[in-house]
Amino acid sequence: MLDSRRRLATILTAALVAGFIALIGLNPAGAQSATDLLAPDAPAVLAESPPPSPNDIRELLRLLSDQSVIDWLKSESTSSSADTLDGTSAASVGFQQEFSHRVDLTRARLSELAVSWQNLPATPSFVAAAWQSQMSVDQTLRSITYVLIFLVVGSGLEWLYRQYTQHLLLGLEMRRQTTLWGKFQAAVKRALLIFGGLFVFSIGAMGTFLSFDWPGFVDNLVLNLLLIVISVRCASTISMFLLAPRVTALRLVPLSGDIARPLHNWIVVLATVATIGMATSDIFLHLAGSTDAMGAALAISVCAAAITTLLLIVAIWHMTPIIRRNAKTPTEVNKRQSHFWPGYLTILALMALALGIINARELMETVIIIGLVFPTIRVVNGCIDHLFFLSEHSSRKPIGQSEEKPLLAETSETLPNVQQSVAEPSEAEIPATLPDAESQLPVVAEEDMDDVEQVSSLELYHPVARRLARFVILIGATFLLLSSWGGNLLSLSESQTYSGRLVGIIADVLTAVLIADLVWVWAKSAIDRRLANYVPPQGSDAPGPEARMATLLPLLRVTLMVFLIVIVALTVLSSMGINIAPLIAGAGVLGIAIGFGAQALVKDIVSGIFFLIDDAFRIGEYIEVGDLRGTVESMSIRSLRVRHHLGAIHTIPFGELSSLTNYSRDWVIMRLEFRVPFDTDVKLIKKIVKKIGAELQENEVYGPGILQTLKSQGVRRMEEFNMVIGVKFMAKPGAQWLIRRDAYQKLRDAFEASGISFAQRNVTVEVVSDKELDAATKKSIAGAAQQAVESAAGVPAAAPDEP
Amino acid sequence: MVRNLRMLSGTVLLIFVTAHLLNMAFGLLSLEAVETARRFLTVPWSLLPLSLLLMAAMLVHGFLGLFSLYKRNTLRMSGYDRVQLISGLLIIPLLASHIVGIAAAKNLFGFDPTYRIILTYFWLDAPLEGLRQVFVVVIAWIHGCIGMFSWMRLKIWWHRVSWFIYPLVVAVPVLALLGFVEAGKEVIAERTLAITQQMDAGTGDAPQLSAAEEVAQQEANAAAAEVNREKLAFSKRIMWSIIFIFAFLLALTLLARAIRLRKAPDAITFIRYMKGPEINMHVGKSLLEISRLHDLPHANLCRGRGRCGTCRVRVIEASPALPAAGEIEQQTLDRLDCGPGIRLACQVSPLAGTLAIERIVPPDITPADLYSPNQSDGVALTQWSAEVSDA
Repeated sequence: MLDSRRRLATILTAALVAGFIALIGLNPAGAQSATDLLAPDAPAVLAESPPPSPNDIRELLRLLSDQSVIDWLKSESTSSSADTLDGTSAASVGFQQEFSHRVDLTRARLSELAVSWQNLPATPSFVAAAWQSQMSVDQTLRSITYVLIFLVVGSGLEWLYRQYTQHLLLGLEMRRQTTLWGKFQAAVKRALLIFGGLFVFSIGAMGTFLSFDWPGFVDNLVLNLLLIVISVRCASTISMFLLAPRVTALRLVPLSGDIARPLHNWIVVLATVATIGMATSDIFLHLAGSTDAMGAALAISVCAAAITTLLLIVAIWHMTPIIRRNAKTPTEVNKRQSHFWPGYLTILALMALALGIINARELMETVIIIGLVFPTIRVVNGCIDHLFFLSEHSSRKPIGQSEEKPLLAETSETLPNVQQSVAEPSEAEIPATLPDAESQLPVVAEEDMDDVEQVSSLELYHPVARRLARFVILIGATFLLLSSWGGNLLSLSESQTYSGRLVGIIADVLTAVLIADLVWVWAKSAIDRRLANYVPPQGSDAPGPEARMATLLPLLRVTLMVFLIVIVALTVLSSMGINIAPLIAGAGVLGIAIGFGAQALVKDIVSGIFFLIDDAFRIGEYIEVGDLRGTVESMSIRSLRVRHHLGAIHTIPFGELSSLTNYSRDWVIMRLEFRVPFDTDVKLIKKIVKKIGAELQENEVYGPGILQTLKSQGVRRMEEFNMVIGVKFMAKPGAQWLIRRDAYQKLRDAFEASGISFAQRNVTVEVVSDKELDAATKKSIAGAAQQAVESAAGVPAAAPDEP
Repeated sequence: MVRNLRMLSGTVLLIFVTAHLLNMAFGLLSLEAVETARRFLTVPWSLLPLSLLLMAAMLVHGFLGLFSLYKRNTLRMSGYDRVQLISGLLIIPLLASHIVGIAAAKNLFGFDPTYRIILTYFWLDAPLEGLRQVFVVVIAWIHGCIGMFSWMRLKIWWHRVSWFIYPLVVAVPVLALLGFVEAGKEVIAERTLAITQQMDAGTGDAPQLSAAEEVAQQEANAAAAEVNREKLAFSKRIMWSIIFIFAFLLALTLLARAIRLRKAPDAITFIRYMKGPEINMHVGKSLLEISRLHDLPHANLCRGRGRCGTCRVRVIEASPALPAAGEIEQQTLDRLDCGPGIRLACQVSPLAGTLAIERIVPPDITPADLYSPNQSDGVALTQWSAEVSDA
């Protein structure tokens, strides 16, 4: 369900891009900024300059009516249109002219092709003659000698480099990394080492070449030969790095060895053939530049292109059965895909060839780019799935590596770029690997879902990585297309034509929407994951620190969504040319007004957020705010609801909270004291307290709540008639009342059992006379004593309330 | 014995090649410098004791190479070994024309083969030969260096000097080839200058000789050319016969090897690697070769020559018992002070039956680790073996 929606989204965005591209492609005014000088831009420029004097206008009219001037202008405009490669300078005359111009070009090209086809048998002799005229056999051989020597220099330097780095490389390859971070580091280091070698080779070979002076043609020849070698090596190194055809552990793409090996071989073969073809065409074009062997050169380049395409098609159809064999679960969809993709790629290659032959370079590139956007996205997604699958597996054992995930997304990002930078054939090749990747991964993902209940932390970045990849590919494809049509996105949106502006608007909107989408997906999946991991407290359990996140996150999500929508809307409006400054100003004024009006409300909300961030209280905790105390029952966005232990409910706005005391955090210490007569055995009391402490701890109701059990602190102070013994214990918040109750009770019982009595207030009245006192005197003495006692002890303070 | 002989002859050849290449490197200065250096670097090798030594080393080394090819159990080998073998086989056919040419110059044509003459020949008269020279320089140098390295890198001093030797290894052929290019350019420039001068002179001095003189001179030239051509054909024949003899010997070696392998018993051995796969394999290959055939990482610093002992394995179970250690293997095992049950994978070939082994040395060991078992690398080493024994 989700997948199909995602696919739909892909198709929609791609359709947008395609429409966008078609617009640029078909509208010559948009494509060729250089030609804007001739056409619709000119009036705009004129409008800005001061109006010309009537004399000037008359002179201009006179000139324009002159036939020779008109002819000159005409010839100038046609020659300039011939100069620009794609001939889109017909901007001023519009689409129809442009089309007919193109048809003319194609017709000319076809006639050229026909001529060179007729002369095909004579081509070798033509070429040979041209070659002879440029350089003798000896010279050719000598050039080869030079090339060989440069290659030796390059390889010598590379060998030297390898000797110094081989130890590192071997270590990287032999020691299998288990953690994701380790794997990533190893891959990056390996890439650096490998490509460093290639770089040293190129520097060595090209450097020696450049340090000699060469006659023109030898220069071209030697350079081309060197370039062949270097680019083939580049392709092979990149393919080697990604595919690691022999060592499974180093492979970065989700392929089995049976696929990776032939795929690598094909990539190397295709790269070789393609570069040799290109170099040959270039050499012969250079050779035929001035002679009449033009047709022969044309024939050669067409042949080279045809051979490359043919090989590409052979490769596709050779790889297909291999991939089909290796697909583990041949589902219905897979079967259909495995029939669809090779055909699709074949048609694409043939179209590209046909367009290339008739010299419609921009059309060819357009076809290739648009045709490859989907396969590339799918392949990259496959790679990302694979990487996440790997990291899931590796991160299951060691927990707590969360820093490297963004980097991982970047690694997968580099894949499409690398693939695109390889020669075009290999790029087209890779989609053929799809059925395999697709077939392996969903199965794996399902397994994952089964045995990992909580969403893994890495899984969060999965949709983000996929979106990001798609984003980068789409933007990259757009830019490639624009550059192939000779346009420039920036100059395009600045141009004054309607279509140019439309293109600019669409590009802006697209970018804004894509970026917003990316941010939204990331934030949403992050928030949803946190919420999914939050388990509400069961029954009477104290809520954990996640409880406040459960309050905050939905709020944050809504805020973010509103923010993104507003930003995108504003961007869209501003790119459509609507002045958003008044809107923003209006919104600002409104905001200020509301802010003043609802100052208290805003204060409540903001300080509530900060209290939540501070984690000052949670639901279920016993707090004291000013005079009010009680258990936190609920929080709203504005206020806090606290229930007093006697049942009253206090609603306190967050803004009113200046300081807050929380009685339910971590631990509480309870100190108890009691009075005993001076003749009591303190050691005995200590013993009794220790015993009772042990008993309390064994109690199954509140025992676990005791952090440090009851212990005697000895005599705390001496008073007039007794001494004060202190005991204390440490408990979890909330458990202390019950423990205190039980502790007092047990102490009393134990004291009674061991004959210790609590001190009672008594006043000894010493009567000096020896006379027997009568009752009235006794009473008055007792009254006086009572007064003395009360005045000494003072009124006893009330015991603190117990909730 | 064979090992040492191969090493010795190879060293002699490599020294010669080095001297020769260094001589060519003077071309970066000027052609004159090359000629001056030639008197000290190249000419002594054509004098009697040295030339005999060179000849003997060449023959001995060639035959030992063929012999080692004969002894090979499998042709799927490591990259270095493959390069070593192929380059060794290529040297003779590529170098034959050069050797014969120099020898012929001296003995048949009776002139001193100076660098100027040879370079003119290579760059102007026969550029294909020049191309071939570049190939042969590279190939011979690679061959020699691989051989030297696999011997030297086990020495205790190696990791101290290797950092200075590596640049030299690259510098010698690179400088020689650049010298070759520079000197070649000088030669080409001389020739073009000569041609233009001749053209200038040809217009003025043509009619000085009488007709008869001209005819006589032409005849003399023709006769000299005829003699030269015969001599040239003769040296060509010698060159080709050398190549054919070599090809014949090579074919003979391969044939003998095929017969030897055919004769080997056709039985299966079952090998269990601790912390590795289980393998079924035809007998007749060494353990190291089996590891390589299955892409299993297995340390072997000396490339299977029984010198380093890094390929050693602990035999955990063997039925039937492995054949007793040979002389080379025993020497290395004694030197490393290995207990019983430790064998060198490169020397021992499992018999039909079952075998369980454990690789002891981590596959990414470097020569520097050989002599510092107690340092940080040693820790990694023991760690690796601990991992191995865990599994």
